[in-house]
Amino acid sequence: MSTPTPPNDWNGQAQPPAHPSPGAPNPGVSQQTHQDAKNLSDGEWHRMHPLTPLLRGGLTLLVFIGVLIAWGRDRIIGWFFPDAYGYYEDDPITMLLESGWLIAAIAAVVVILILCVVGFYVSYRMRTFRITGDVVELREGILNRKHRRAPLGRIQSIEMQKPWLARIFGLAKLEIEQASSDGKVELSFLKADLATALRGEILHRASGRKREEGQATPQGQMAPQGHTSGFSQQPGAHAGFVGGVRNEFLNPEADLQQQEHQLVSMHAGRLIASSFLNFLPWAVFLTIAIIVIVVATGEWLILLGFVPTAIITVVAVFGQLIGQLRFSVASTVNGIRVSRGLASVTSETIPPGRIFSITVTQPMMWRPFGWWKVSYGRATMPTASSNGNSQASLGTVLLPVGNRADVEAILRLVISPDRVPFVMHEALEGSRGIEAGFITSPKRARAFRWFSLKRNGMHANDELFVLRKGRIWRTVNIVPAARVQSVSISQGPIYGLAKLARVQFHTVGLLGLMSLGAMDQNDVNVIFGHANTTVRGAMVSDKSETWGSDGEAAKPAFDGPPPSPAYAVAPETLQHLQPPAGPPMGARIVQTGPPAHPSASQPPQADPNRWTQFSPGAQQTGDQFGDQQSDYQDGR
Amino acid sequence: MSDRIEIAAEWERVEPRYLWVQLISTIIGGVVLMAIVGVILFFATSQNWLAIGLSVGGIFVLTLINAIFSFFRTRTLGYVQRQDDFMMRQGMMFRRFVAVPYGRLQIVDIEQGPIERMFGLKKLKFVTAAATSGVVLPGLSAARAESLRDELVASAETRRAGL
Repeated sequence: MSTPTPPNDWNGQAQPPAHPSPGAPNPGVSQQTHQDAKNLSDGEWHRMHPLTPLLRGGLTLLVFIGVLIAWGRDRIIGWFFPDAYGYYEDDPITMLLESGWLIAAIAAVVVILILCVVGFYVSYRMRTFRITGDVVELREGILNRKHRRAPLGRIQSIEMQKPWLARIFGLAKLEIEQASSDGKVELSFLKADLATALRGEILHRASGRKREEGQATPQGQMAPQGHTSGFSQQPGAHAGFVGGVRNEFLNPEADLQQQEHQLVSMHAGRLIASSFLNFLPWAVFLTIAIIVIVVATGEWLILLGFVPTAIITVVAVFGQLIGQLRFSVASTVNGIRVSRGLASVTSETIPPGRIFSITVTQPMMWRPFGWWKVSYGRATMPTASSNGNSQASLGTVLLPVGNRADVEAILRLVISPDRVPFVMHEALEGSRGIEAGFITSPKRARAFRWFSLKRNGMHANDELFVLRKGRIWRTVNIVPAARVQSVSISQGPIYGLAKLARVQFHTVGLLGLMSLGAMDQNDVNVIFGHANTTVRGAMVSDKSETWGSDGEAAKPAFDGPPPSPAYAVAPETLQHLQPPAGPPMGARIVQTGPPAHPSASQPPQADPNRWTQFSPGAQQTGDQFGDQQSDYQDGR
Repeated sequence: MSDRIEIAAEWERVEPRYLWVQLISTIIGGVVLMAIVGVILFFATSQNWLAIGLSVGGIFVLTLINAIFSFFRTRTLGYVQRQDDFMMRQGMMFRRFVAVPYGRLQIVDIEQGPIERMFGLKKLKFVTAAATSGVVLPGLSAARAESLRDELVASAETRRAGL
């Protein structure tokens, strides 16, 4: 504590630097900025950066001016090339000049312009936000007032967007997303480094880490300047780092360039190649189809008809590529940070527990290269077109393309690290059955799963459900038990004849349905009972709403039952997979038909190689996976 | 059919008179579909009576089959309030069992269509955060629908969990 502590720290008192920093302090955000961010989050109403109206309404103004220029385009040319006079006889301005309404027209334009400017200014003045201990609020609108509250505990993600125009001015906007399609609070625009600090502060408060909640800063003392503007009044005042400031606050990285724990960054060449490969089968198919059509009809002009389609396709593929350039994933204390973009930069922080499902896929053409794609389910619809690149689908991607190591790094962020080796070895490419912890389709399901019979299967433990599907297009769905909304099993008449059934896990998000068909109906029945028990236990022990309140580092994002002997699902609960009501269903089913394999009839802990590996503690879990790991090596 | 997928529980069944709601709405739907197809084909095929007859007759047969199966559908609709979740079953041919933990129930709606009103029945609709849950329980008497709604909301309140 050699450096002086600022008078109003979070607790209004000096804090000893007892907490070692999880990462290096962020060099991009100055102490002054942090102070400003604190001032902004004092529970008072604040305004945005004064340039906000220009950026928010600026495009309208530009369009307006552009229309005027377009109208008078020929006239402007005429100023420079007088010989060209005569070409602009019938443009709107000439018509105005001749009709005698010129003065009125100019007056109208000026009035409209003034109204615009006044409107922008007033709306700027009326647009205020405040950040209190448990809510972010935004008030806006001139005639129709809108007041939006975002409870911190329900924040799904915070997205920092820097559209290219705003980047020129060094500004950024924060979108605080709630669990609904239209549930975001948009703080636009703020100074970029201030936005970064503010994001850290909001996330810190949402995490519920040990600190005094509520109005952190004594009002009246602070916020002498903060009541007028939401931006730093003293830029350049880089005072260095003061020991009294909490490390969590300094930790969140400032920018793409300064990410401390960057785990995955996208290689442009790989991105382009993967995109091309993904597109290749379709391109080949289309080319053949077109050739066939042309040869069959002998009409070469038909080719012209495909030109617009081709252009649209190329533009779409290109747009997708541009949006994913400089894609990177980093780990922060407040969750995963996904950043992307070249000109307009977007960086989204997803706190733990806001990832509702994970899907790892490998298209056929990626196979020789060992590439994978990771996407996730989220509660909000990703923001489309708000920052120029309208790639809504990008918002659900954790990894556009990557090798096994990348997938592993991502998985380590979102599921318990000790589960990762299992998923990597058995789920991604494996096709082993019960000996690897997967319950798979019975042989009679061959008609429904021609190629993937052995691979089509599911693993369940007290944290995750892992669905493994597809041999040609490999897919792995990972559903955290704590995020499952409901479970269903179903059986149509054809499945009924084959005694097969389908199990579905309903989760939040676009990828909401995690479904696995062609399973033995007895197994499905057991899965159903087990899943309901597991989900209940995981819900009880889920702490992700305030992910930092237990004082631990914010990992994993799924935040299943804590890997300790004291987790909520007691082993005795798990011993009977059957639902509590009614007679033991497993027994009944086993009696009616021969079980596909011993697992359906045995209690879960009788067989160490059971597909549901209930582990009473983290240590044992690690051992189990360790054993399996050696098993893999033997097996291959 | 006892070898199909089955879950043993103390299932509560819906009101048997829900069958009439099913039958009436199936027949109305079939008649409307027949009329639409008939009129379209009447103009489209320039009075090709064979085509019209085949199509409308086909729809008639399908409607009839559907009407017969509504007996089973009504009989197989069931629900049970378990300790920690609400489980529902439906379907004879297309069986489906859904379990929703009480803590996951976001909204419980009561709905009543015109035909249901004639029979004094109401429908409970359960909304979770997942769009795909799709749990709808029709054929409850008005009093039971309301009491069940209240019970479920109370259970959901005490076990409220995050998403």
